Parts: sequence; C-alpha cells; structure tokens
Amino acid sequence: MIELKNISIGYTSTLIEVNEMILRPGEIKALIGANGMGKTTFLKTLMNQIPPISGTVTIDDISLHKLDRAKLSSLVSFIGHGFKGVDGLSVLDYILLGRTPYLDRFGSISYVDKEVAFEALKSAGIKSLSGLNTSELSDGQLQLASIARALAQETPYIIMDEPTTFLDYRNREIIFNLLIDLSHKGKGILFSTHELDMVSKHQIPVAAISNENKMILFDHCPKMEKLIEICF
Amino acid sequence: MKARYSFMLLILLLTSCGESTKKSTEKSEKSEDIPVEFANCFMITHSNDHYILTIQNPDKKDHFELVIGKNSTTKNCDLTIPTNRMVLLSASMIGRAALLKTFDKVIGISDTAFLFNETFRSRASNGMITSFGDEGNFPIEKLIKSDPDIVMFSDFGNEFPKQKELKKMGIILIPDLDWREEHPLGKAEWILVHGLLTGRLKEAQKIFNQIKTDYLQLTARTKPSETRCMSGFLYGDTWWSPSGESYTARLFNDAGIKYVYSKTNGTGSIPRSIEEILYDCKSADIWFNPGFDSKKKILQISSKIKHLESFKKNKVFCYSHNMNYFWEMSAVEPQKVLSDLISIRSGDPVNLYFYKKLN
Amino acid sequence: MSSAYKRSLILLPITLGLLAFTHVLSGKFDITFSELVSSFTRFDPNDLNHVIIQEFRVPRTLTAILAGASLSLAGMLMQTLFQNPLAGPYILGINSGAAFTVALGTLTGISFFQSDAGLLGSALIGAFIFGLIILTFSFFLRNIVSLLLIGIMIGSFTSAITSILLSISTPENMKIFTLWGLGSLQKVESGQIVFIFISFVIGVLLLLTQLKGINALVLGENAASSLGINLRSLRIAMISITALLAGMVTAFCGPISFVGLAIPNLSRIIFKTANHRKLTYANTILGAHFLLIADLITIWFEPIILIPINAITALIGAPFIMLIIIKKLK
Repeated sequence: MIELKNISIGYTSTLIEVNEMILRPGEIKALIGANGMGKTTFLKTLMNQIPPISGTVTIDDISLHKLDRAKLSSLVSFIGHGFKGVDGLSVLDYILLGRTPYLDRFGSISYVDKEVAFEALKSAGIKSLSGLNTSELSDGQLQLASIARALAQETPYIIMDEPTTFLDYRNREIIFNLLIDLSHKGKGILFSTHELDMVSKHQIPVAAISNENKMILFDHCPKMEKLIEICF
Repeated sequence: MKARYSFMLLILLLTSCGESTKKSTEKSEKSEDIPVEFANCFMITHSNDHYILTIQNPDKKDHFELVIGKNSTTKNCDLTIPTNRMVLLSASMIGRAALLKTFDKVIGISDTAFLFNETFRSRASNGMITSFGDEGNFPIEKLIKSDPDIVMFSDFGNEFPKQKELKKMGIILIPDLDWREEHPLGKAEWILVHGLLTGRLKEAQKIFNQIKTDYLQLTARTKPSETRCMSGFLYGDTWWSPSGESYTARLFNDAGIKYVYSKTNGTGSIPRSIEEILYDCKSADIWFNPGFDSKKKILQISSKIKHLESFKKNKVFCYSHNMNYFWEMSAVEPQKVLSDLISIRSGDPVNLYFYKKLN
Repeated sequence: MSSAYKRSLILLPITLGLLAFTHVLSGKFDITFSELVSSFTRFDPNDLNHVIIQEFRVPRTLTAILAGASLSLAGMLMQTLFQNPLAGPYILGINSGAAFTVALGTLTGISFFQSDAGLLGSALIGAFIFGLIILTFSFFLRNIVSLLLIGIMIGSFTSAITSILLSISTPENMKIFTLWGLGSLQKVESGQIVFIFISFVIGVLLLLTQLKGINALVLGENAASSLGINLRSLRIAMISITALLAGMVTAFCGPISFVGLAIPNLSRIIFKTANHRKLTYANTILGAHFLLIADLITIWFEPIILIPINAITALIGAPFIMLIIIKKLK
C-alpha cells in the first residue's frame, strides 16, 4: 500500500498538508482540487520526482526515497497527460514500452513480454488498434492505449494525471468504467480530475485538496455542492 | 628580331632624352607609344607634356586610363609625376619597387610580416610603412589617414572598396593585372608602370631590357628535352595544376621541360582528382610547386603521393622555404625562375635562386 | 517484426554490397574484377592497379560506409535525445566543437596533435564538451527551434574563435587546418581505417547497451523516468556515443554535413518505426548507402567537374530537410 503520514508537499513552500492517506491495491481514488492547488505537485511527489518538504511516503513499507527508479517503476506506473503519440510508434510497440522495467539493457523483448502486452490490449478493449500508429489515434484511443501501457507495466498501483481532460462524454464514460473495472481486478488507482459529475455519478472515493491546503479524504463520494465548497 | 629590338631601344633612348629638355618637347607635338613588347594588359602613350597609362583587363569592356603630367606645369592631368606616396597591395608590386630602389615612395602594403626585401623590412620596422591587410577587410579610414597619392591593387574583377569616395578625395586607385599576363616577360614588363609612376621610366626600361636579354638568351641556349614535369598540389580533394597556356606552363616550355598538362587550354588552373593525377603524372620526372617545404608535410596531407615517381626519386622542387622572396621577386625576375628550372632539369640544381629540393 | 523489415535485413545489405562494389571499381583507372580479387590474394606493390585498389579505392569505399553509418547514428541519437527531428551533430555545434579542439591541437604545432591518435583524441574531447554544452542548454529550452538556433550560435561562436586562432598561426599550420576543414572521404589512409572501424564498433556496441532507455525516451523524459530509466546516465551515455561517432568521422574526414540530419528522418519515414533497435540498423545501412551514392556521383562527374562531397550531401540533404520542415513543423 502507498502510505502518506504527516507530510507537507510543495517545492519551497508547502502547498498541501496530508495527515494520513492510504491507497491499497484494489482501491480507486479521485484527486480533486482547484487549479494551482498542487494536484500535479502531489502526483510528482508520489512518483519521487520531487521530495516532500517534510515526512515520507512509503510504498509497501519501503520509504520512497530509498527506492531506486527501477524498483519504483515495477510498483507504480504513471500516466501523464499531453501524450500526443509518436510518429512511427505503433500501439503495440507503445504498450511494449510498458515492459521497460523488466527488459535487459539491450531492450530485448521476449515472448512473455508480448503475451503481457496482448493481455493489456485486451483489458483496455483496444485489440483492434494494435497495428495503428500512435500519432493517428484519437484522444480517447490514446488514453486507452496509455492505460494499456500502464497495465503492461504490471504494477500494483497506477497514478494518472487528468486522464479524461479533452475527452468527449462517451470516452470519459469509457475511461471511468475501465478504471473502476481495473480497481475491481486489484489495481490501486489514483487519478486527478476535474470531472466532479463523473466522480459523483460513479461514487468514487475522493481525496480533496481544500482551500486551506489540507488533504481531506472521503471514502464515499460526497455531494457535489460540498466538494465545491471545500475546494473551489 | 634583334635588329628590331635595338631599333626600338634607340627610339626609346632618343625620346627619353628629349623629355628632359623643354625645347624638344615643343618640337614634337604628336604622341607616341612607349614600346610594350610582352605585356598585354597595359599601354603607355607619350606626348610632349604628359603620358597616358591605359590598363585593360581582357575580361572587361571598359579600360582604366590615367593622364600623367610630366611636371607641375601640365594642365588637365590626373596625376603629376613623380609620385611620392604609394600604397602597393601585392607582393610583386613590392618586388618591382625594390628592383627600382624606390624605397622611400612606398608608404603602405598589405602585410609587413611577409616582406622579403631588407630595406623595406627595416623601413617597416621603423614605422615608415603601414600594413593594411587584404582587400576583403580593408581599413579604408586607415588608408585615407595615411594620405597616399596612389593605391595599386590586384584587379581580380572586383571593385576596390569605396572606389568612388576615394577618387573624390584625390586618391588614385590603379588596377594591377600582372597576374593576368601570360608571358613571364609580360609580368616582368609591369616594372615600366612602376617606373612611369615614380618618374623612373628610363631606369625601368633599362632594368627590363636586361631581364629580357637574360631571359631570351637562356631560352635560346636551351634545347627541348625529354624531361617531363608535373606541378601543383591538392587542395581538399582537388589537385590544381597550371593550365597549358598559363605563365607557369610557358616557363616549363621555355626551360625545355615537357609539362604533363601542356596540351590543356586556358591560362588559369585545371582541377584533377588525385587518382587522375596518379594516372597522368605517375611517371613525370620532376614535380614543381607542391607548396610545402618538406616531403613529410606532403605525406601528412596525403600519403598516396608516395607513388609518384618524382616523389620516390626525390625530384620535388619548391620555393616554399622562402615564400616571401618568391612572391616578391619571381614575377619581376622571371629570368631567375627560368634559370632555376633549367638547372633543375639538367639534373645539377646548384645556385638556385628561388627553388629548393624537398627532403 | 514486420515482414518488410525482415526483407530489408536481407535486401539492403545486398544493395550496399553492390554499391560498394561499383564504388571500388569506379574511377580513372580501369580495374577488372580479377585485379580486384588478386589485389587481396596476391598483392603486388609494383602493380599500380593493385596499389590503386588497396590504397585509393578500398579506403575510400570503407570510409564512405563507416562515416555515413556513424554520422547517421549520431544524428539519430541527437534527434531522440532532444526529441527534435531537426537535431544533428552538425547543426548542434558538435562538429564545430571537434573542429575547434582539432584547430587548437594543430595550431600549437605539437606533433602529437597531428598524429592519428592526437587528432582523434582532440576531436572526441571537443565533440564531447560541446555535446555537454548543448545538453545543458536543452534543460532551459523546450522549443525545437530555439535549441537549433543555440546550436547554430555555438557553431558560429566557436568557428569565430577558430578563425582567430588561425589568423595567428603559421601559414603552414593554417593550410593544414584549412584543408582538413574542407571535408573529404579521400584523405583517409588505409591505416586510419582501422581506427575508424574500431571507433564505429565501440560506438555501436555502447549504443546497443542503451537501447532500452533510448526507446523509452521517445515517450518524453517524465514517462521514461517513470519507466525506471535513469535519465542522467542515459543522457551522458547518448552524448558520449554521439561524440565518439561524430567526433571520429570529423577527425579523419573533416566536417561532413547533412548526413546526420537527413538520414535519421529518412530512416523513420522508410521503416515507420520508433523502435531504436530497428532504427539503429536502418540508420547504419541507409547512412552507408547515402554517402556511397553521394561519393559515386562525385566520381562519375570527375571527368567533367570535381564536386566536393559536401556539395553533394547538401544538394540532396537540404531539400529533403526542407520537406521535413514543411510537413512536420509548418
């Protein structure tokens, strides 16, 4: 489990205070907060890209700063936003890049890696896209491919930065359903989002960054009005 | 030939004697040409109180003309001789000035670091001669400040920077085309131009006539041989050799040497790949003018050179050990270059002026 | 693996072999096939044709192949490292960095710097240092064009210093440096081919050990980092390999332009992949093709006109790059 206790997060001054927050495998959490309140900073802290100002994050009881990059990449996969596809990179090759933590330095891909990648394609429901070029995909397809890549990484935890921004309603629905489905299959998922309606509709547990820079946790999704009052 | 030559000399002497006395100038009103035998790019016309110097670039339509008054009483002239402040922007101009011993008239040159002549060098180190650099980055204000009467520059088809402005200030720019002359004596004959401008035409003619006599005598004594030569060197991937109608090819011919590319057209240089050079010149007996002063440096540029017979047999000759001397004096003293070539050809290269065998 | 890629594994080496063969047999001297064979089996130093094959033709052919492959691989690394299809060792000032240290070496007149090892050493150091400089700039500049402009500025700046150094050197050292600066496939001697070959092999082997990281870097630095890649060591490795490959070619051939810029783009277009294992193969083989063809053109034109190799690479490369810019960057 990913555990945060008495941590303050930020670059030089504290953006967010977290008393306690836990993400277990099989759990899903939506990170909500106004723009500029530090959602991305929070996710970057979890990815060990910036150290917390005080306190430590532990993953499966090992503190984050003691984990090397390679080990961390087998525990947590991260899906940033803004991936537009790469010319010449096929969807299958993209998903195979999720296998990077398990490859030798020459990047040799084994039969097992391919099997895992096909499974990931199937789980994300994009088997038919496997031969396409990532630069030709729609935003929704790209997001699904990114999730499949994270699945191929075979990590217990998946962290996502605004996975549904720029998507139309249908695609948002697909992504939310997929994420809930994956949590049921045992993944621990944390994602930042602005889609309060979706979060509320699917009754997803919420981690909200309040106006007072405190992390407030709700095991059941509160009413939208309350969330808005706390955060915005 | 010889009779005609002495006849002209006679006329020359007569006319030049006439110049000194005012009486004789009054007598003859019509203009006469000062004889120019080998050079194609300049002409000097002479009439009672002035000369006209015409310089013609064969590649251009219009020519350069300068009316030169013989003394301060001459009206409507561009310049009155003798000129006392000259800027000479090529080495061969300096060579002419040195031969004519007009040391005190030269106030500026391209680069005093490359001077050969002792007198010029000591004048330069005493600050009496200014360095101007090359025409590409010419310090015009420095030139104006040094207040020259005349600037002689090599005319490679380009305009001298700020030509019009300088002309307005009374600085006369004279294009020099000695590099364009095809006959070695044609290049040397440009000493007449320097003589004319410095008021020492007579001496210039005398010096040139001696050079001519020496050159022609050497040629007359030389019989064609079977010795074959090659010339030039690589620049990048291109080997530049003088063309068959060039000044250098002419010198080889006059020295009785068969030049590999004597049949090629043009007066400039011809480009060849190194493989073509090996094909054409492998068996040449002598290699002139590689532009380096040691065989080691040549091999550094390309070790493939070692397959040339001339290189193998140590028959490589160049002037690079004393580059400044060559560039200053070779154009104005072609008889010495010829003499070097003949000595080298004869297989007994002693008393060489410019050339040296490469080791 | 796509079947087109598999076909290329067989087809392109064959065409390269045929091209190399044509290249060896082209030139002023008529060389027969049997002479070519016998120059290897029973070399006779007194047979001019044997000498031509062994000292003129074969080194030139091998140089074209190795230089083309090395520069293309260096370009591929730069383009992936900076995620910029217009990056290349030449435009980013890495070549002029190598030129700068070579000039320093040449102009000191110390004979070590004029030996093969000295030349190679100084070029590699220069290429590496200037690679690090551009890498440092890349941390501040996210814009594709800005980084290229910085590269061009670094190039101009070092060229200016080099030209000042030249102006205070002896005319002969200046001449040696100027000749080096022209870029040529012909000045490589048969002994130097070994140097070039070894550097190439080391460069490619090192490159293969970084393939995992390089492939991940295609997704961007944050993504690569989340995939467990140590970015700092990957960047240093990529710069070092580029310095080795581009610096080595620059040391022996002088600056050769456009290969490192054009071929990595061509490779991506033809092979339609972002997998750097395939791209390594593609750049090696296409780069070798390109420089061989460019040099063949100069040989065929020899009886009419001598064209410098850099003129050919630019004549083919520049319009191609313009097309890339129009299509990708608009």
